[in-house]
Amino acid sequence: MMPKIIMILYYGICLLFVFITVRNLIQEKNSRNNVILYLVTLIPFILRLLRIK
Amino acid sequence: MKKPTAGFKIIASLILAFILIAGGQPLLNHRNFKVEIVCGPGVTEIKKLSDFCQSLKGTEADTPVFILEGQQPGGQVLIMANTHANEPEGMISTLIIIENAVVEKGTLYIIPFFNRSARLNTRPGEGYPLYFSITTPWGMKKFPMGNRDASPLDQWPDPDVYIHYPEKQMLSYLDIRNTNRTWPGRKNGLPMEQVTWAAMELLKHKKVDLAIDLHGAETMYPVTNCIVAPEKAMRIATLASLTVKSMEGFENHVEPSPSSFRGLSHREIGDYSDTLPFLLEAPIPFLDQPTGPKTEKLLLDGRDDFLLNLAKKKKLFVPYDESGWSFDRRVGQHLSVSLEILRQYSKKNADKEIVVKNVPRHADLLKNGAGYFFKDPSEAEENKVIKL
Repeated sequence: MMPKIIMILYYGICLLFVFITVRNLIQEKNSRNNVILYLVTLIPFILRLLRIK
Repeated sequence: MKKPTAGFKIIASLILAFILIAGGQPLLNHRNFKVEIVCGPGVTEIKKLSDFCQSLKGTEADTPVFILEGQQPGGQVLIMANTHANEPEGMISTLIIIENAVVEKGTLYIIPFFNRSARLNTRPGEGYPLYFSITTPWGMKKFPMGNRDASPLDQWPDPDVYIHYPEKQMLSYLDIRNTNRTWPGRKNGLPMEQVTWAAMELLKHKKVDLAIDLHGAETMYPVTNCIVAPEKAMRIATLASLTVKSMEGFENHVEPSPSSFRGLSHREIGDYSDTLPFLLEAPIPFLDQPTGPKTEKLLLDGRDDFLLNLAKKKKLFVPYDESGWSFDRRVGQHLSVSLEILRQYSKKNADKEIVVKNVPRHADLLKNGAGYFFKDPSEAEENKVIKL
């Protein structure tokens, strides 16, 4: 039971990181490099949330 | 530095979406890929591992158990493959048995995808192909190439240190997803512990006499091209090894199962049940580290120039020449050694004889190739075709 709860929490954390990163991406005003960085950072989280990798 | 406009953000996001789709779709297809198997004349029933451990039901770790029950009673044997899904010759060997074997005495329990989650997993970081295909008389037959461990999608998170149950030995964190480190398993453990626990339940409830776990190992690894067996199975393993050498002309030495290394099938099955366990290792050049690219060709022909140089310097634990160590040869070894173990057991236990016909041996595989023994699913009766 406990591993399942931890796994669900892990997906919750992934979702939180995606939300924060997308928000930062939208609010970014100064650096194109940061925009690219935010997008690259999103890749593993999206792959996990979609249960691809 | 240029400011990021809304247009820049949209274009960059679209590029990211393209990368995600281009990279993710093949992985998703691999996870959903099914192998079509034609149940042969010997298959009498198909169960699931969850029949022996309810909590596996509906999970990706649940896997089919093919039962081939003979017309006459006799001994019982479990043959498992894809414990490590990146060692696929065991899986091919079991599928050949399922499609061809006729059991006259005794019962075979066959699990072709023991760690099913590992079969759904991939190893792109090391450049492993996602699939491999073998030639059959009716075309190419495609199989998925898995990973050594269960997918983190199905079992997560890993602990910092994996403490084996019940021996409490500390093992690598990664081995919690390795079904050859989680024996004898536990009912309420993590999914891979439940997989091995379910297999132990099968062994105990069905009073299985022999368990054969089919693997492959690097040519640079000392425990390769061998039968690993604990003390109580050593006599049969030795007789099988000597017989295949004298009758079929290939080497397959015997390695003792270490008593202080826990979690392995050849150790825990023997210690926690009455079953005699054997683990067969066939040499897979593909798995060695110092090879050329990890291509499908290397997986199938086992030929590599780097390994050839190392063989000349006597750095390998198996004889290795220009002919490599082909897939067919490895499948043939697994089939011949498995059949020989059954024969040797039957000779010593007349009341528990296991007689299996129509399974090809080493020479048949070298002559015809593994694909020759697969039936065309499109020409089989619909109810005989199983998608795994």
